[in-house]
Amino acid sequence: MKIMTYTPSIYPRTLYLVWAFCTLGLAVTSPTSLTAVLALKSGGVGGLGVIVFSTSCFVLLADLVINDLLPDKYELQFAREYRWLCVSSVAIVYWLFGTMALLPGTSPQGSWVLIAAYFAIGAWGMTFAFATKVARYRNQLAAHEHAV
Amino acid sequence: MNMLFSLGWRDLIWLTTAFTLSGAASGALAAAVVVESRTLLDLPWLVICGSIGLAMFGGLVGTLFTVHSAGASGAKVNVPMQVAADLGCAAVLGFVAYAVVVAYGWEPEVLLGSLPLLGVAGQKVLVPLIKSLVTVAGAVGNRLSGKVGE
Repeated sequence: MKIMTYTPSIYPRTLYLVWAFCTLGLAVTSPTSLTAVLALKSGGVGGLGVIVFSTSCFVLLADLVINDLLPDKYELQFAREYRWLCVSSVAIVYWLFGTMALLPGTSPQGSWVLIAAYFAIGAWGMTFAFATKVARYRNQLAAHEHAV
Repeated sequence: MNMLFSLGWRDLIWLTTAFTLSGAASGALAAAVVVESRTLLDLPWLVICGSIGLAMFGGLVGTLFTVHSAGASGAKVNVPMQVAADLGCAAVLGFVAYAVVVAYGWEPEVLLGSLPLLGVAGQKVLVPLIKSLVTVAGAVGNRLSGKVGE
């Protein structure tokens, strides 16, 4: 029984990506930004988080440009298949940095809005990845059963 | 190019429940650190809840891995049960990670960094381990009760 239809488009992903690249851009260009401070103070864990975050962002960007914007003859299969993993990886790093920022003396004073945004955007990204992946699985399963 | 997906109200309810569990536990961690203004390792019970919550967030990605491989092969997965199992495994590993970090006196960042990864690895580590233990226990039980060789 299908009660509610959910149609994800490129727009939610574009917004998510713009936000993620803003975070990344601030971290790279401004050493005093929250993300840069957290990455420096948290040592290896923060560095690993930044690497995962950057890689996922660039894969999502390639996915958006090639699979969504360019004509259908151009395709990046890997990025489309693992879109959910990239979105959820970015979400996890957001939550990781958000939690690190709560450690006493870690984040600059007055950055609570950004910390709240970290948690919010992370939760939204994970929900989006989960909902679309599970729904796609249901469609794949229905296709398999139809084929049999 | 857009894909059309469908989700029912029941899906939304269990999805919301899973995220609420994870979010509430992580929120406890956040509240504990902010309100008490202390370090992670000073606040055992609330931090244990928070550790479990963060690990659960990773556990949900573990569920996505299962769904991904099942989608390719056409295998049936009871998604709500899978979510429950992965959240449970992640919760156990989150608790263990907290205990290890406290025992060794490591920096809190080590705990935070390891939790999501542990959550993802939960089903790959704990489920095979539990299955092996159950198999061994069953074999030992059969041997002790004399069922083998009859």
